[in-house]
Amino acid sequence: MEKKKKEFLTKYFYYTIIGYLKNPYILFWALGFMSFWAAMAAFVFSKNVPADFADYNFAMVYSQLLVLCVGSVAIGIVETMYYSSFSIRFFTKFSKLNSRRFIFENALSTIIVLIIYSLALLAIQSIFFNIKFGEFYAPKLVGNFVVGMLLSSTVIYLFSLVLAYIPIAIAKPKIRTFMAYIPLILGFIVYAAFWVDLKYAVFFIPLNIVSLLTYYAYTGEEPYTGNLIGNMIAEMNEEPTGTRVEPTIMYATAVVWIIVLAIVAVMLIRKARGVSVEELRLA
Amino acid sequence: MLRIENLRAGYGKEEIIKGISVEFAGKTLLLGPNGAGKTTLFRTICGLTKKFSGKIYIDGRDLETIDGELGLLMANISEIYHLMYVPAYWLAVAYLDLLEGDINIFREITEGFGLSMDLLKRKFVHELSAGQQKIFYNAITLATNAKVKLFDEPFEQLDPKRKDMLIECLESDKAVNIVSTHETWLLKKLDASKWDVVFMFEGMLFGKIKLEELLDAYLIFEYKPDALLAVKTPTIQFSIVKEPIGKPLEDILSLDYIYKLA
Repeated sequence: MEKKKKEFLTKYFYYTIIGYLKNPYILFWALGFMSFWAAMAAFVFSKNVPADFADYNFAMVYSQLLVLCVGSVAIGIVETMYYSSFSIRFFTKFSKLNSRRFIFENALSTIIVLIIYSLALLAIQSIFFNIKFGEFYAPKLVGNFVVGMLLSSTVIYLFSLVLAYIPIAIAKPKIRTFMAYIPLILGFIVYAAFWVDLKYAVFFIPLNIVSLLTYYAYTGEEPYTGNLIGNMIAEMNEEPTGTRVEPTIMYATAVVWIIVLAIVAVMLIRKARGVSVEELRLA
Repeated sequence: MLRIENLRAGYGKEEIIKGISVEFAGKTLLLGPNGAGKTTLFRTICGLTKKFSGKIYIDGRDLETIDGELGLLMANISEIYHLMYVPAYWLAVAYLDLLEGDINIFREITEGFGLSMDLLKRKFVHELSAGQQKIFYNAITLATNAKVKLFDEPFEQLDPKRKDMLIECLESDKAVNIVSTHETWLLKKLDASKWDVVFMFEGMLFGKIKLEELLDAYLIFEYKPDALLAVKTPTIQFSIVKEPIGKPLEDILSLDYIYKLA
């Protein structure tokens, strides 16, 4: 009998990516709705921005909209993980998708999805800004941009995993909807940084790391802890500006978040294995 | 072969499966009224419902230690069909890739049951009707090469013609098949030489007996230890006997009526 060649990735990997990329709810909220705000930023809110500050303005808008974009994708990830949790339990036992392979393929596919959505938003915003200002704005630190995107996507993936497994581990499915919307709630807190200085809170909101890493890679300058519009105006007028975050601390924060979230996710998944379907239905 | 030793399982503190020990080989019909614990037993075998105590061995492998073992078990339980958010056909393609099943067998079965590939490519599983979903789950389970296959109420929502077709599929399948149902009309339709029957009441198993012995049997509401099958639970007792006394078993269309008749 012909021995089947062991493939590197299963169809689970490909169809997970396709599933997220074709999900109409994620497409609408992560790209459709964000495109509207990207257009508003290009054609309405950027009217008085001088040419010297156009790239900073672009980076500021992208880093903030990206938080809401990946926050919307995170909602989809939480919902999908929740609904598939019992299938996962079965398939990791009785299919070639064993526990280690599942973790690898699920993480890789979801991180790729987050990166695709992030780049799609970048493309859409670039088109709008190009129409308005006639220029394309590329990141100043390309290597940092790539690393930042990988770190950000990993943080968002692990954060979503934790939120998905909390209702299962504690057998309280009623809190599932609330858990699913936490990324968006936090996303809007981060979005408030346009006007409000979040100060040290930037380190305690996992989604904030997305904004900080993106802004730094795009401009090559240390990002502010908040009040982004106020600080940009202050810079234009050569007035004192607010607190900035050092890149080393920023990257260290991302790594700490990844470690903490990974440990919590593993603990929750282990606990969730002892919860039955009926317990969830009756809770 | 599927071997279960003194299994107790349930949810929260409530025990649904109450100390079951049984061996399944060949084809077995698991007959019991609604609420007897058939689905809970299947979910426990699949690792979805909490086991309080006891052991489950699938083809000699302890359920607890199984991780990524291909070809051991497949079931038509809806909870395991939510792995990805893609239309039904692509879900089947992915499932049969993960389980190393045969997509051509899946196509043959679903098309035979009147489900077109075009429909399955357009619709998600939750968008299919209840009967179509049942056909979909049954077809994936049949298209795998698992050694043990669990079919939970596989005839539910199917019309008579499709019920007959499904019986043909089950009887030609090479795996250990365990089919749960509460409908006794099935007894007359199956090839009596191929099937064993196990009864399930209130979380306990009774039997197994050969289907051949059950045909033309009678039901009496008293406990006769020397009967073909004697059932005694905290709320009901009855026996199935060969002698023409009591009610012919074939007259009871569903085991749900047993409590009403008792």
